[in-house]
Amino acid sequence: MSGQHFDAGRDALDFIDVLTRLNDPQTIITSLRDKLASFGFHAFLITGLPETGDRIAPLVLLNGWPDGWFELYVRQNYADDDPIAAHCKTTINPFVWDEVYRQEVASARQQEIMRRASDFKMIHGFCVPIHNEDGFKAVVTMAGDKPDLSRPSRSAIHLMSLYAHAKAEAAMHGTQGHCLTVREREVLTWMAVGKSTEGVAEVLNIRAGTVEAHYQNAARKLGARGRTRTVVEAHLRGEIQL
Amino acid sequence: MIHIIDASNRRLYAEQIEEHFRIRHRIYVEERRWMELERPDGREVDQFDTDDAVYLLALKDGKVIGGSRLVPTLCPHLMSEVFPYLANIRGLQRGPDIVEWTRIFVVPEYRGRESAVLHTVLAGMLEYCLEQNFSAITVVMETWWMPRFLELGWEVKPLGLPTMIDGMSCIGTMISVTEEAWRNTLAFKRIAAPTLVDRRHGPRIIKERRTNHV
Repeated sequence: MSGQHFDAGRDALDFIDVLTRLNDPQTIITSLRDKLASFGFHAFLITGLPETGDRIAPLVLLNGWPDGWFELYVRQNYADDDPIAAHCKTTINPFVWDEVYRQEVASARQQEIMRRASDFKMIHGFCVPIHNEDGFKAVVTMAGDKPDLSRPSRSAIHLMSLYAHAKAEAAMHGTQGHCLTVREREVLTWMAVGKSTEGVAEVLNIRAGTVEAHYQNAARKLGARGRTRTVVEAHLRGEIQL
Repeated sequence: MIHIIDASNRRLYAEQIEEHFRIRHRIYVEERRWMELERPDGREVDQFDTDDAVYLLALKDGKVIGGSRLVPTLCPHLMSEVFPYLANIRGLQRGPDIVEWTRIFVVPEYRGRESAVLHTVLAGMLEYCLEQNFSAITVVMETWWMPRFLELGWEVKPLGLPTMIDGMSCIGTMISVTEEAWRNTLAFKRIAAPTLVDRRHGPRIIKERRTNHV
């Protein structure tokens, strides 16, 4: 359903307002999917890009790719040779796939990747690279068979993608936020206010050995040594409030 | 530390202000090639460097290593005079409690992830705006910079769509001045607060405030 966007600008800003209020990753995916579909993009992915030989899966923030394509992409290690992914790391400007991929000069492997993508109706695409102080960070990539790639639409999608990435990153960190269990956080909180192992055991009505086990687990998860460092680290990461 | 310099205390910083005009010329004209700003005296001074402008300069041993400029939005400013079309959807945002931020820079030796100078300037700017009870900062920026501010958890509202200007995508935005944004910016590079040196008047108090724009 590509076509005219009567007021792509206002529409994009309204979408960003809505997006800003969302927190649940699934809701973010759904609203982004609907929005991009209105421009004729049925597939999208927000992801970091691995170094050659590394895996892409742990770097994915939001996966809106068609069923089967992501699995194929990972299984075949397409990230190592994907010409679109390679270009993302070289530019701060959004680009259309057709601007950077030339079949006549592409390797057989690159042609295979683009051909397999087209089997999933991922024929024309658009990428918005995300950079921060350290350089390239992530990309918002999207594709369809007949998407609207007019200038105003690209501009609107560019902007929405920057917010979608920020939101995806915040949401993912949000869900991973607490790496400690409730019990581990309780134990550290009591230690933070100065209680001994026996003191914590008494307050929580558990055995001292159990307290020690919770503490050891928390220290391991946080990569910290010693009570003070573990408590400080837990506080810095927002696991406990003091 | 970030020094606040306006018309009232400018004499105390005459040397540093001059140095900052020359650094701006080096960075904006010679490094970034914004050739319309080129001047034969090697000082980048534009129509918004008036008595209403407030400079935030990062000084180290009396030398300028970074800085930025704030201009009241009730005065002529970059977005209102040069790039009003960057606010063509939400409109220009002007008010006694809204300032425009322009000309942020860090000298080359103090750039990169190991340096906290850029974020100290950003935190200093928010700290100053909190003290002044400003509610928002408008800014014309290169679009690819936005993720850095979103990453800091700042509330950044676009006023229009990204637009190509001289081959570079630019955008007009408004940033809410909040204590949270200030604290996040400090925490990002573990910068100690306060960041400001203000040789203008008496003690300063940061108040809790809310924003109500757009």
